[in-house]
Amino acid sequence: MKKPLPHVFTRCCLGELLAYITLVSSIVFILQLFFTPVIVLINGLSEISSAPTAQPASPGLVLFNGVSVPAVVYCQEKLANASGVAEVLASSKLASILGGANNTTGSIVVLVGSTRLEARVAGVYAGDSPSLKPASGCQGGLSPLRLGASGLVSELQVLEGFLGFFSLFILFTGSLLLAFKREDDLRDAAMLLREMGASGWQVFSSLLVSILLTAVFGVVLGFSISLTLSRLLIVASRYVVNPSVTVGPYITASGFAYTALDITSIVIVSQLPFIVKIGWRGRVE
Amino acid sequence: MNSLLKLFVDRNYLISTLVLGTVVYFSLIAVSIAGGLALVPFEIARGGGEILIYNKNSLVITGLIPASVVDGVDKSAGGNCTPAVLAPSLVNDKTPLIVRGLPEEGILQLGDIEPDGGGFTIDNYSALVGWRASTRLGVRVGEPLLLRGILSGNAVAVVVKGVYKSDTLLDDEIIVSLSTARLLRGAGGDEYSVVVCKTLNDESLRLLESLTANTSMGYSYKISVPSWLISLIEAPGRSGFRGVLEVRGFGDIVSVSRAMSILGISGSLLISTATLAVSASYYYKSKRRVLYTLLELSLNRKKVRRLALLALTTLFVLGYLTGLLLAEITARYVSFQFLFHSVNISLSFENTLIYTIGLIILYSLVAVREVKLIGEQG
Repeated sequence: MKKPLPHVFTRCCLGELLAYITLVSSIVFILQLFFTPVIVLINGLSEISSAPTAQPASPGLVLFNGVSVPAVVYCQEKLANASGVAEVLASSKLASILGGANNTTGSIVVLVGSTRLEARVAGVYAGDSPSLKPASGCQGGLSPLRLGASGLVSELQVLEGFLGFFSLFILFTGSLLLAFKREDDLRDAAMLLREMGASGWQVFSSLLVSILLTAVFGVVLGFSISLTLSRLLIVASRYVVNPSVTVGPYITASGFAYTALDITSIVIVSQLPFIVKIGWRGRVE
Repeated sequence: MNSLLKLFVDRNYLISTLVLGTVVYFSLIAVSIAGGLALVPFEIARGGGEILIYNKNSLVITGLIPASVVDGVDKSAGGNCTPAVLAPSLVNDKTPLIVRGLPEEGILQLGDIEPDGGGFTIDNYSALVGWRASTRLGVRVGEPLLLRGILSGNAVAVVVKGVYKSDTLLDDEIIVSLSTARLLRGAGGDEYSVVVCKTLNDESLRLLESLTANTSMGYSYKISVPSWLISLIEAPGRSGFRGVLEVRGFGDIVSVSRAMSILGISGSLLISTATLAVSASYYYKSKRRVLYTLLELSLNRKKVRRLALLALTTLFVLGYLTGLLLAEITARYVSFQFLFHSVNISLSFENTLIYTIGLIILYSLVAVREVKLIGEQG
């Protein structure tokens, strides 16, 4: 006989699976199309070079005359490395608490965690909160905006990851259920092919190829639908609800490739027991 | 009748029910996330209150409004309002979260905060930490914290005075004095981030409306379905809902939640219906032989159609209930972090209702179409 063609399986029993893969993958792609630009936007904002950098600091307590004041201690490591009494600059706010702006020579004790330091106030700098830094200077390099933005980005990535895994779980469950549903029909089609003279190996490979093609075709269809749908939704929302901020759908090539691969492999894995059961066993029977 | 109905119920039928169940499950979760996410910034800013006054030209959490305007509204409302300064900050230069500056009376008023330890009174050098934030940071009462404003870069050291539990989004935050929060936010002494009011009388609403007309200020109510649904039906620019819909700030919050809910609901309805239609049509195809036999067995076409419709309706109801149950269980146990707050996926009654009504309408169309075909095909 002629080589058994995968479309024997596709035409008899895989239509529902194709519809399901198309629908779920379109949702997965829509998620990506909307999450990617938001993450890129936040990342971009945090990279703005004019964002102020800050000096590294630790929370500490300044002790003097039996009173303790919580204070920001800048470059604490530099202070801790100083031998003997460390020379520090106090913020104007701290200086005023220590006894007026003129009191710049007082001795204080600084507690940072379990470290206890003897220090002498050698000068004052302008500052609205109680703080002190080494008199020899303190280098900046910390970017609070970038740290905050990366926190937000990782939150969004976790959320996107959750939604992605959830969609893939739904895809797996659904396609597994559909395989159960169509198992008898697939077996009938396999038997028919065998009766028509196809070898067991040909039946197996045809079934595998037909499911693979269904998955790939479903992904491509799903992507096209999601692209069209997201564009339509953006245009519609612009005219109907007029939101203050709109985000253009956007996806990277690698993002698309990974997602497509994920969906295809999930489908193959969910169908594998049936491919083996029907195709491989059919080879022996 | 019952024994005849059994002809329709087989493995195929049960699996179709489960497939529909997974799709409804997926859709309900998508609807809740889409609808809920858009409102999180407003819910955070609101911090448990009813009416929120904020800067509509900026992100609700980062915007600032002048104190003089706010004081006017508060006076008119009879001291029903509490101002707040929100400062997105890093704790110990590591963990980002929202630091909220409140006046002394605000700490006692807002959200019925119960102290787990320490006390209520805070000064410029102390802070109250929400119980979820304290678990996340691993801090206890008496420990010093370094707070660094993300937007200003300013740093402040405070000592943890108490840990509170309010069962609101405030449990993910740190509360400090107004002046400390202003320093962290980089705001002037005459500025607030938002004002939250419990209720406003007509007079103060009118004052607020006139104040917000020509400034960047806006205000919003706690959102629920009637407000966004009514505003959807109403033509833009026409006031009608409680007479104050004109105010642009309200429109902003409505349009955001509306856009997101519509996106979620329409997308979910689309996939649910497609699955339902595909499932129903495959199901009937597989039942062709049963239908022929029933038609031949002197049962009239009307009776067979009624049986088939009953079978499809139970499939739909069972599938829907399976999905709803799974979504309810998921919503109870799953929460995610957004804007440094732990947000639950709650199945909002309104969004679920709209999705369900939409699904029933679409189901009816699918069912009528499929059932009508019975008997006409052969």
